[in-house]
Amino acid sequence: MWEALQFEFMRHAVVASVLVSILCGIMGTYIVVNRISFISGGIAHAAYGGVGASIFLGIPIMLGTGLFALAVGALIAVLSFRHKDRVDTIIGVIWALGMAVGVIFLDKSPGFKGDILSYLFGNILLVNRTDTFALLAIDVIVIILVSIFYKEFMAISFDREFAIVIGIPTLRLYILLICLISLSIVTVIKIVGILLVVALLTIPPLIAEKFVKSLGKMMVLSCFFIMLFSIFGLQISYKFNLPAGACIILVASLSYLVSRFLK
Amino acid sequence: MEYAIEMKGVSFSYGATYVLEDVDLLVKKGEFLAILGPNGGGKTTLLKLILGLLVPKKGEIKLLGQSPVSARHRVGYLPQERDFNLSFPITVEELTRMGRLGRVGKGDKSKVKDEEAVQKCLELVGLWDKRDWPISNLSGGQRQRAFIARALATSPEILLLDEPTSNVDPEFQTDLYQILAELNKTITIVVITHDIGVISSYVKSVACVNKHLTFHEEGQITEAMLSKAYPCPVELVAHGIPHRVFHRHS
Repeated sequence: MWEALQFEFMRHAVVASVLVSILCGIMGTYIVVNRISFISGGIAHAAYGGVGASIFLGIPIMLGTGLFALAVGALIAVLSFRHKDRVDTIIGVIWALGMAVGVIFLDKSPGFKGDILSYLFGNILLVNRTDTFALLAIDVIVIILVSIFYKEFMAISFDREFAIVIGIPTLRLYILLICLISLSIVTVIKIVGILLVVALLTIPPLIAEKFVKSLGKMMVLSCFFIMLFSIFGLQISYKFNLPAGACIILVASLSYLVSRFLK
Repeated sequence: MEYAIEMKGVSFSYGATYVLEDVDLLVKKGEFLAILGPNGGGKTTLLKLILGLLVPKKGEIKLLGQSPVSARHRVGYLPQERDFNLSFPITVEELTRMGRLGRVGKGDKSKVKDEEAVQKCLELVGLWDKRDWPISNLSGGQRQRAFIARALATSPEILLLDEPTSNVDPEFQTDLYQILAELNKTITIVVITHDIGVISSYVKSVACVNKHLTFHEEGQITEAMLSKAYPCPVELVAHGIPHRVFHRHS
């Protein structure tokens, strides 16, 4: 592994996985305790529409996809808040709609369309210097917002109705929470791709949940697990010349199975 | 005089058929009201209307003289739903402190005051020594105590409790009503319950809800009241013993 670090793209990949781990450990924990991995999957897939639109309009792809995912996240937040019993259907529709929009935009985009597969399956080795700075900025924003609203986020995640009754601005905070999740999803798309993003966000907190008794500790432990899985996955990918994203998910999934047997 | 809760001609339906119809209810401040009725009779819906979580199709509701939405943070609420994520990593103390968030204790908000309130509530329900326990380690009864502590931590003027003694050890049932009787010296209490035998000796008034609401000024529960509230004959049993519902014999 360490010999690999002589390559610049490998150094970027390692820095990116550390930064992504922090983000995913925090937001993945919220996904697990809120039991909204389906919502997260919906946002991730709908984000494909953002990829298509960005290429069609010729704007930076991560920026375009990020804005698109934020809009989808806010929409899903409001709809799932208002229509609690219809959540699954609504998300299913948005999930497919986003992908359809992406396919149509890509079909209508002239010329070279970039490496579309890398958005479906990710490619951490394509992460550049600008990406790592963008990641750092998102990390800082998320850490600040989560420290400010830690107790409120905990209250709305645990018992939304009670939060409403005691006068917490529940809907607004829920939208904020889903938007932060959207942001983290878009950054992970770069690493493991749309199809695998939910696994990387949810597996580490699921393992961590068994070992801790507070939300904060669950976040820290999840960050640590994601870092471990990413670095280990990268190493396997480098050694056997396999796709990085898939290796990371493989390591994460196997670890989950092992942890289920242990505890 | 200002009432704790005022409902006038309130009707509500989730779909086409009414769950509650033309309900009038006046709850005085300092009242200790028990709400009885069969499952699906609209008891929980009634509480949610009072809290402004549901909006009535017809009629008017006032909470502490204001609209439910603007006054509900002055209410301590124990929900009936047990649809919580029980593996949620949260300790008993954190759960109780949740009651101190939001608009609770506005103008009187300090960390010391919050800590005092949390300790007091946990001591009251007998969970202070288990404050560091994650709620996933609690028994059903202990968990219920923790939720009651959270409701109390909001320093409420009214307590709305939705079946507080379901899943609770019988010991706590008596304890709870004694605690409530004590709290009732300063706050208004409305409790949905099936503990017909036990509550008789504590409550000041009774409302029977089964689509319609019948209010009884006195706490004494009679067979006639029950036969009106429940669709089947209910046996009235002496204090402390859970009631049984029999099918009609031929």
